[in-house]
Amino acid sequence: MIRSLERLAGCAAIILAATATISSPKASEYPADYAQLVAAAEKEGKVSIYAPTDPAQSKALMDAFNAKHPKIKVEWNDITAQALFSRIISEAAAGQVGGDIAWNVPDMQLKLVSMGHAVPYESPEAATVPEWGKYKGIAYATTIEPAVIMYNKTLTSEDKIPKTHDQLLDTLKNNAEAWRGKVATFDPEKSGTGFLWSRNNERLWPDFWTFVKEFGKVGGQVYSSSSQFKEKVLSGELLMAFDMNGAYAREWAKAAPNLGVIAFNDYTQAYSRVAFIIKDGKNPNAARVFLDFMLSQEGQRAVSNAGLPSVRRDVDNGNDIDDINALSNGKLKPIALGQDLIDDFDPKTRTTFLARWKRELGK
Amino acid sequence: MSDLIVRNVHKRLGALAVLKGASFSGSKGQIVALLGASGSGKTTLLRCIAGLETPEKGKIEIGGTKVLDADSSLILPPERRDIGLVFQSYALWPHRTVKENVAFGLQLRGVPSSEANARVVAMLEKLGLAHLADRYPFQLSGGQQQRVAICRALVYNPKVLLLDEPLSNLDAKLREEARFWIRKLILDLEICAVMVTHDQGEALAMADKILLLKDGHIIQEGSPKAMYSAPETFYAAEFLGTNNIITGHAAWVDGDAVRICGNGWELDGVSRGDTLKGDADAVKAVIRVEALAVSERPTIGLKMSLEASMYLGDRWEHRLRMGDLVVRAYGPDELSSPEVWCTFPQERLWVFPAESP
Amino acid sequence: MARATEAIIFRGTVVAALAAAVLAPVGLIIYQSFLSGPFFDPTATVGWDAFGFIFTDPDFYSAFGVTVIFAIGVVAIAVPLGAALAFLLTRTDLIGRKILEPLALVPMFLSAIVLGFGYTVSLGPSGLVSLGAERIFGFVPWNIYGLGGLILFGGLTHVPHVYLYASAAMRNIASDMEEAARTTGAGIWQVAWHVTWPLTFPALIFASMLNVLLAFESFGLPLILGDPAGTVVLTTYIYKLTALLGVPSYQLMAAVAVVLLALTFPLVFIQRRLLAQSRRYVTVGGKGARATRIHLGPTMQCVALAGVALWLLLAVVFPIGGIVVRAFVSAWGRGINIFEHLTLDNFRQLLIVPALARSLTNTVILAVVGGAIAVGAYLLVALAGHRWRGRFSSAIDYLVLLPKALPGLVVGLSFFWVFLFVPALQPLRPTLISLLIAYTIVGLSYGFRMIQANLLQVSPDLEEAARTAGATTGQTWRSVVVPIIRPGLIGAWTMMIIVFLREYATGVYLMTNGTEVLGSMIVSMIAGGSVDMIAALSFISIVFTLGGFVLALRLGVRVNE
Repeated sequence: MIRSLERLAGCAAIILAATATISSPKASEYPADYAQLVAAAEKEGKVSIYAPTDPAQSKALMDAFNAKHPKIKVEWNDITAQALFSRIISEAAAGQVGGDIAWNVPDMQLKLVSMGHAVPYESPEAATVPEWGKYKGIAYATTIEPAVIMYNKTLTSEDKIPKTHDQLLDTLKNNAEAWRGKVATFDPEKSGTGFLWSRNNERLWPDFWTFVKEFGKVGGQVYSSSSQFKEKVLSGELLMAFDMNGAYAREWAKAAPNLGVIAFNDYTQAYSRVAFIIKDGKNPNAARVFLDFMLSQEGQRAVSNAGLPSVRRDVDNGNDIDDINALSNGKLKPIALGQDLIDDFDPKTRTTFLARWKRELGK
Repeated sequence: MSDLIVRNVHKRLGALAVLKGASFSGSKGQIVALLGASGSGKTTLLRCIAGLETPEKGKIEIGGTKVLDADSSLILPPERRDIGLVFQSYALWPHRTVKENVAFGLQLRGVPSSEANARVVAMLEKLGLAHLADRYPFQLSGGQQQRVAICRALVYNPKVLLLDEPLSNLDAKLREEARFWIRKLILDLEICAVMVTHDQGEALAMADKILLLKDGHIIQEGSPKAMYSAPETFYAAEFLGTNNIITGHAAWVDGDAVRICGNGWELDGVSRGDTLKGDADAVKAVIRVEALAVSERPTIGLKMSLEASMYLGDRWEHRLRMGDLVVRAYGPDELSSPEVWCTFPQERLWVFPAESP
Repeated sequence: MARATEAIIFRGTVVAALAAAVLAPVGLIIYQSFLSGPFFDPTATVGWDAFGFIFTDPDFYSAFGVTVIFAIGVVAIAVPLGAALAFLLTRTDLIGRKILEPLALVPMFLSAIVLGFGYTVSLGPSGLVSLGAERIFGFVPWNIYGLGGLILFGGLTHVPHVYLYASAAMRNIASDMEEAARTTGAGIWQVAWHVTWPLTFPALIFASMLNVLLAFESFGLPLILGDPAGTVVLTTYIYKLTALLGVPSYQLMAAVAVVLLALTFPLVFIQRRLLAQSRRYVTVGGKGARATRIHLGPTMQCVALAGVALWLLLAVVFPIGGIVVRAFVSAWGRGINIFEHLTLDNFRQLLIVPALARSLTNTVILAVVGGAIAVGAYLLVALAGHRWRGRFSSAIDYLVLLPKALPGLVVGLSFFWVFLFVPALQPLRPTLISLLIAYTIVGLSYGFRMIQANLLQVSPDLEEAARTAGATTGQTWRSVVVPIIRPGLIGAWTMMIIVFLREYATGVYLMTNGTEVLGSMIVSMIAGGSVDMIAALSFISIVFTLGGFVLALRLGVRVNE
């Protein structure tokens, strides 16, 4: 019964995602005895976070949390997504769990959940998280980070930048010389994020593989770290990079005057950074308090002020899910937290996809 | 009582047998010289005594203490052998002053610093180095460095003092001086000393006992006088002194007395070492250059032609020939006549079988 | 009798400790390569699956081939240039050599990833220098991406690794040997060829060997310069394997690492054979004055200076200049006048992040204090092998190079596991001590060799004199050997500070909240795109390192002697 309900919820999540329906927020309901939880958390005195995060963003969240809970010290471990995964499974196997909260890209997080490294927690803020952003009462979406196009404003103008996926295909096909070697995206072979975006594009875009073929023909470039895209578009080595993390790209564009960012009009896929409480963590109460804070309006506002758009609609600072949806012409398509993401770790699925990717790319 | 006993020491370095059973002993106030050509094993023997090499076979006792017994695997490390070693290079520690170099051995022996200081100063004074106590080795001359090295090796009264070619890095004048004072110092201190040298003059002048080594064997051992005047082997005879080597045949043998002959000459000598088997054996004979007397007037000696005379300052060296017999001799005067008479004292012409070592 | 074995006990203990410290992480990787899953996963089974996978993957063979060509290319460029540079700076009267000496080591100050970024800013398709050239020629006459660029810049930036060992060897050649050759009528280059080169041969063999290993485990440059052209080496292939299944597949990473390891053994073996044959060359320390340098005529001065200047331009000015410029601008490249985008914001950003300040402190502590402790450890190992003809003395040669034979990130992961799964080590993991131990082992191949070379210069007589005066082996080392090589130890310390300051791979997994180190923070930041901060941090790091280095030289430290 429960399982079929979950499956139903999962299907619903996908449908919701596909139609980009954004549910209206509900009020959070904290239980009467919440103060006891906070007291227990304060007794633990600290909470340890495992998360690959931009230092400015982690600092914003820490500062906001400390303002509210000065007695709980936040220990932030900024490690890469892959290192985070290795750490959680290794520490669990050694019985030396060091983290309380894991906060990372959605597919890896759900994989960890499926491997049993997370504990369920029904957060009082759960109601405020969209249905597609919740997984089995264990993992919660905290941000909405759209896939955008980043381009060099000095060397090309906005009107030359495609606005839909089909236009992207057309412009590469029709202006092949102009784009030769000057357009790039994340490498699905080397980057988990790259795989996530591409795999999702395959689901959402009927002409995806036709596009990949054209992308290969114009000498499309693939890289695996945000830094490389940033420097290459900034310097004009690349004219345009698509399926960049919009949360980062928008921050960079604020500081670098020659970076432009636009979102696709037909659909803008987006993933969410997902948080859960690590099993056997040393500070389970502080972990709950911290997770609640991450999902709360206050926590969400702090993080979105620092650049990561809020998954809540009521943050109202110009950087919440409504703003991202508006940016995307109302066509925001968040990647739902569901079994699909876990299934995509099946080695056969991945190798089949990547083999086709290489083949179509003409490598 | 012997302060140093070495018994049947064998040592290989890789495939090469460097020592093939060396035995000797030394006592207090005695200087033993290990003499030999390079490669004879003399330095290896010294290093075996010091514990810097580990022999495969043999026993060594220093001051009544067994320091090596290969049979029972007893091998004391160098620091427990109570020895002093003076290196050919002196091996003064460049980062320590003269005083610190000398005091090191006392520190290691736990001598209180005030006492150690007094002993170091006394030792330095004895060797005339007191004014250099605070210098570093590189600020000293070669002779001064050598004296510091000796102070360093003696200051803690070792049972045995070992010296590896102690004079080889000094110039000729200093060397003669050093022969004297080192010997005097060792006799004064009544210590047993072992010295390695390839210089027979050094060995003869300084040692009470000489061990002559060849190919890892001690081939003769004795006082300098005995070694020089009564060599037992051809090698020993030839190694010491300045010599004439004469090859020929035995004309007759009668006990020790032997007559040797060559192309147109005959000489009387004494047989040494292995006895000659009989007539017509091929022989080689050694006679010291200074044993020959040359005269322009006829004597009972052999008549020879004078090929050349060279002036050596304190004397003349003459080169003489008689058929295939060529010898050198010393004389006080220049010779001018082409024919001279040369006397070969019979007891100083030592005859050995040609095949003897 | 008991004390006779003192040295044997010490040597045995040190070699055993070294073997444990090196073989624990290396052995874990080997074990992992034969499993079907993570070694801590009870369902993992033993087998050849991982090797089966990589040996049937055409990408593996292409990466393998590229790696070998890259390594050969690096050695072919770095060894002759490093040797020539060492010859010019140590044996001739080249003008300005006092200034050139510290500059020659600058490419070692930064991790390869940062150097790679520096190159893209100066020489990349939109680089500042490239755009200047484009203005003159109408096009950019070079392309730094691809195997060619990788080999060229890999080779040029590895020159210091050769220079360091070659110059140490050359300083020890008594100049009378060279003078003897000159008086027989040999010209400068004939002297170099017939006298200096053969005498430097052992050091160059070691340097070649080290550079092959450095090329094998090189990750930063292939990532930045190889990726854009699709040039994949084994380390970047490992990176790809990691992403292939979405989650790290340790057995595949380990299998590739084991292949790299397997290549090391024949290399060390060849090195030992070559050095055994050349033992006759090892003439340590001329006694004569070594003051005389070969006189270069005006023409030779110009040629030599031009060559050194060209190398400095390519290996120091362009990459370092690129990073320095990047640290002070918000935008650069095509159509941008960088003077309009000068900013100090990049530095201001550093101030707001507490973890960065902490990582700076930690890095300095690790480099300065840890470097000294590491030198102490290397000294113990070097002493254990010193004048030891025992059966295991050759084991040290293999052990010290093993950690450098594995890709840094793999070693880092393995150390993380060792500290996680060995109960006795668990308390150390959240402390800087765990990083210090890992750094010390990874740095072995750099520091050990320097100390060993110093020890070989101590005349055996000096040690034997102490033994016969009554000192045990231990007392001899403490009172004679160590004080004599003290200048060399300080040089090794300076060297380890530099190596530890720029180290990044070892700490990626091991560091935790409170033990952040700069290099590993930069790795996390690269994924997040904080290039502004990386450039600013690198600038600070260069200034600190160079400043400290020049100060050390002023105080009389000889890094390469």
